[in-house]
Amino acid sequence: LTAAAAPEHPKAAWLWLVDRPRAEDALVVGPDAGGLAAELAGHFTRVVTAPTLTAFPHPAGAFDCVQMTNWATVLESTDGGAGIDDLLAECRRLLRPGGHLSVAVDNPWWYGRLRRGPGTALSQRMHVAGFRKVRRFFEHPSHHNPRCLIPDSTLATVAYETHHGASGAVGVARRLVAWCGAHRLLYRSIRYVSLA
Amino acid sequence: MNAQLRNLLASVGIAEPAETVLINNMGPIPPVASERDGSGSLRGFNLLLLDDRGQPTHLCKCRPEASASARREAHVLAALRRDPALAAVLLPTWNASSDGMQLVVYRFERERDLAQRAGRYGRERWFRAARQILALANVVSSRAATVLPELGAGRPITLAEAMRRPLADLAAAGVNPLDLADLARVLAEGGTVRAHLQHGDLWAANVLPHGDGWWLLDFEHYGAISVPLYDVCHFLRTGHELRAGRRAAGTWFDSQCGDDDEAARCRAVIREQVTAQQLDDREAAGAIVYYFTEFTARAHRYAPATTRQRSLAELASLAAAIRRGESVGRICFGGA
Repeated sequence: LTAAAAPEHPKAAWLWLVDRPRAEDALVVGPDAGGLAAELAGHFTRVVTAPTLTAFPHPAGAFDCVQMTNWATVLESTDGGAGIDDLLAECRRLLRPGGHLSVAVDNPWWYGRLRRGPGTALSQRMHVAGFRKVRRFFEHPSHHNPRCLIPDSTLATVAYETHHGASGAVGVARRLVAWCGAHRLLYRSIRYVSLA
Repeated sequence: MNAQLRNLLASVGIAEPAETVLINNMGPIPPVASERDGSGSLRGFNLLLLDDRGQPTHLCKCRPEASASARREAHVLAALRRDPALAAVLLPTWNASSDGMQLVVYRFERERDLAQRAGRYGRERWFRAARQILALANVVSSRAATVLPELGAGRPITLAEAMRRPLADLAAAGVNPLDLADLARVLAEGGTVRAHLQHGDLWAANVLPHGDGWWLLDFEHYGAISVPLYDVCHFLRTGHELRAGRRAAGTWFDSQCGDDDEAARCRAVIREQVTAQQLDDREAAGAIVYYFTEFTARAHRYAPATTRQRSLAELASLAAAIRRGESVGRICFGGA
């Protein structure tokens, strides 16, 4: 018997959860940018793709949105994460005021890598790079297949786990963890959305 | 929140929520030409709107403006909600659309849906709930026949004719032609039935308890299927799977072939519905075969692999029983 394809969960759904004053130019950075670019084309007038940001020729303030397909892969092009601050500064340079940078990373709380790894202290680094406001969303079950986006707050995660989460003993345990304020331990991926 | 969503919510009098959780992210909108993309997956997403205390206030379905099922849901709910007799069955809803997107907003109820409770229900309680819910579905159907005449309640449906396309789809998908011939024979024997509007996706996840009663949710497919007993079979079959969970050895139809108490109770519920809908045994058997065949064809197009395989196995069991000369009516409702 023939089989239908598994559904794909869009990776730009975060755009519905933020206010965007302009929706003209978007930049997709990373390998396999085509699928995401097609998705962003539904939200922006023009979408440009680039495999990396190294030697990227665009002028400052050229985009309303920069989204990376795979943060870890992009970081490999910046000396294994050593150039992360330069990368963020370059993203900030490319964005117009009010534009958004969106990157998804493995959740260091989930993976127990609070002291190292490319996702570590990203909020602070984004602020240092000049972003005004940084929001975090958990992507469940992962940023490769984001079926749900949950804001990083105890109230939102308790609501999600209570009304849409797992049932049975697993559900009770997850709700308890969320209710205790340890919700960051529950999800594999985080999407950072920062405002230029 | 995105300005378009904020404005759509404002147009139905709902203020911007303090926090928003995006759930069931299914496919990008816009752009979209139809609600299902090439892979057959639905498009759109749902939002859980939270107040400043983190309490959900609304569940908001966001779908492409081209989505026929969202339009159907908005239209059906708007018509049914005007009927005072249904105020205790249907949650308050709002709908709006603009620039490629349409919203159907339900007032949020804190109660967990029946699917999340079903595992804890004993047999007595489960079948009592099933009877109440199926009776509610019948009330909605009879009211819908009046307030939504365009859905064609009461028109004659020839089962063999209605099943032609699903049978062709299953044949193209490689289902054993002998099985399909056996199913087609029972459908043909079922002859013609009167259209009885069906919910189309009546299962425990679309039912919320409230007080001593129930809310019915999700009217995206309402009236798209009008063959009697569809909702009854779907509710009992999915309920069996929910309650048996990992303990389930076979399909619902397999369990109906047995003589245990659970099967007997299912037969009694179906028999009551057969009587209430004034079907004779052949019509009822044909309608039940219609359910299994239509559901399998639909699952084959859209459902995950596990559901597809399970429904195909169930259809094969049904066909094998027919080939052995067993009566679908006897197995499913104790009829001839």
